[in-house]
Amino acid sequence: MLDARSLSVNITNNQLLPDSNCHPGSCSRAHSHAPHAYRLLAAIFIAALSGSDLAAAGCGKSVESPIARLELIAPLVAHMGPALKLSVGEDGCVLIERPGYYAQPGAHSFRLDATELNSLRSELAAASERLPDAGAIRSTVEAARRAADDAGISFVVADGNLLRLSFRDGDDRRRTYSWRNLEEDLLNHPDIEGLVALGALRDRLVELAGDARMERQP
Amino acid sequence: MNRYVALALVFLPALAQGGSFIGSDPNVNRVVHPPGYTGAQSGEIVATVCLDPSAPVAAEIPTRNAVATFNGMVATLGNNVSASSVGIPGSRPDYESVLLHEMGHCIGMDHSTLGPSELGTSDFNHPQLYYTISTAGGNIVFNTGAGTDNVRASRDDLRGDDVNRHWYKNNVNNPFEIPSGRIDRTTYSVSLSALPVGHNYVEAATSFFPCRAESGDTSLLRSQPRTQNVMFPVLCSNNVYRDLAPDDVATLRIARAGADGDANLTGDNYTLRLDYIGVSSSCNIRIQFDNSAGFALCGISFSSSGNNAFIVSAVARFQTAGTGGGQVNWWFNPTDTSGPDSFTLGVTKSGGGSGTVTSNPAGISCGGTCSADFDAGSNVTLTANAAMGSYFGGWSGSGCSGTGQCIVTMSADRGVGASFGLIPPAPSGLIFRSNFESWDLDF
Repeated sequence: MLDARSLSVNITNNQLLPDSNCHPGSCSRAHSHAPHAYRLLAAIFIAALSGSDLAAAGCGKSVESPIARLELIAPLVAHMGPALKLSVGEDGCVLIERPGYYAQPGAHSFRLDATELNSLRSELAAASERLPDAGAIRSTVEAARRAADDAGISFVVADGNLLRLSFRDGDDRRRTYSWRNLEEDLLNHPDIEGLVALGALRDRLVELAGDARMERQP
Repeated sequence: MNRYVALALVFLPALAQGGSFIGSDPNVNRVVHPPGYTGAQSGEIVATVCLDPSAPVAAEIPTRNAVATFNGMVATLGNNVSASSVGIPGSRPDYESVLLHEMGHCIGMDHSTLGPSELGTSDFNHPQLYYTISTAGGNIVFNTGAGTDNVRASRDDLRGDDVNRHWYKNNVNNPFEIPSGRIDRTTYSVSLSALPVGHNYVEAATSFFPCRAESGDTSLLRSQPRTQNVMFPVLCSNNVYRDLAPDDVATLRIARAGADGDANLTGDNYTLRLDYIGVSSSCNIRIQFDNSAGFALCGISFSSSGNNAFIVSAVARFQTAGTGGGQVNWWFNPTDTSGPDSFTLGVTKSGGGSGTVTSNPAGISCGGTCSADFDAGSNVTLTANAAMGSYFGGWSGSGCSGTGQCIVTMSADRGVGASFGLIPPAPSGLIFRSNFESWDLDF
């Protein structure tokens, strides 16, 4: 689902999928011995499905309906776009977008191999088991805040980030969470399981944004 | 801004005002005090500032600069300048400017206007952005209207039942006025009842250069140099502010009138000195760099009592710096403008008497040690004790006079004179001889 340039490069490099974002050896190896003709047909088929605009984005349509998506919005510079925008497509393509004040701004992507993708899907399914809905977590946190207030200590975060996170659970239903100041809430309420689970999921996705295979998209 | 230009601008005739306090929603009358102040002390409060081991070495100089800026408490008109004018390449965010903002939060200040945090939006075109900070009133929504001047955060704004949180000078409401005189909760208000006739709402100092002018620019409206509260809730691209605006200074001084809110009742008045202690993971205001900060923020914990709140701890967090993926390309000001870490205080004794002068904090015991170095910005109290047969005649120099305590602010090298005189020997008696019989007089 990438552009013709990436297709040709990858075919030349005898890689499985036509993905410019896969370093040699880093992509799924499930079909790594597929006949050259098959790869060529697959490449043509995928290229035909991909619009040129999507091709430029690196992951194409796979991230339009992602299995996981994360946005981290920093209020002080919100007008410059999310500090981190990350989408994981069904095919394992990971699209990362950073605003201009980051050292590596713009869109980057890489592809999880089949094992990594399956592992991530399993983690999302397991997370959905541990994660109550956002309203339930919020109620628990609010109660804890009130208790802290009553005990004489309050917490405030200025310029705290807004986290928007969604993923498909084990039943393929979309779960959505929107949370401000997650990090500080975690520090102040480390015993609230739903909060901890949300933090762990956030960390898992943010970890993807630091993957060394990431490559800049045009 | 060039510090000398900034200092010069301080003396321009200006057309004060204050900002808001963090945690003052919904209690808009709440004033927040920095770490170290409990409401019962007076005099100098010291809050330590440190760079967490996670911070890059390059953060040290701009951190020192920001600390010095808060210690200096200089109100500066024209504090909003373009990044290119101070040599910042490209679109790199200025760490010193952002630290000034976050440190402002860490010692108690809140945003000057409604921003993305208050409105929960990332839409730069949100119609309620940049109006003077407030809480929503009884109708639970913000009511915003720019008034006839069509400039947000100006004095003719139409705000419905929005409850103001921005402290302003009674009967003045001018955010460009340099703060002077008595600044406390009697001369400044959040209640709209002290607005001058003809004003609808509290004005905030904004300057969007070179950002979107249509969002409002009260500096332009008032024909003032580009002045913006460092607590403005958005960092416009290519903007730098390394000096405090009048609003910032006034807000801090309102708090320093103490928990009683009255500057004339000095028993709980205080000054704050931020003390940068270098790299440490333990201090009152810790600055750390991590991968989930996104950009920058400050988290504080505080206790509260009535209309006062007291910060217990504060952590400012910045997204990791560097050139790799997930790292912010922070610009770290390489120019140290913080001045010396310490200044020398010398005591010179004079007169025919003798005595000692001691200092608090310790350092001078004169006697033998009549000169010592003290932290820049600190207040040193000198006490004189006359020796037997001598009396203390008084102080001179560095603003000290009379025979009470001498308090010296160490913003430069200082010298103080202490005069000791001899008490004339008291006559044990006088003998008068005359034609009369002699007698003794006892004194």
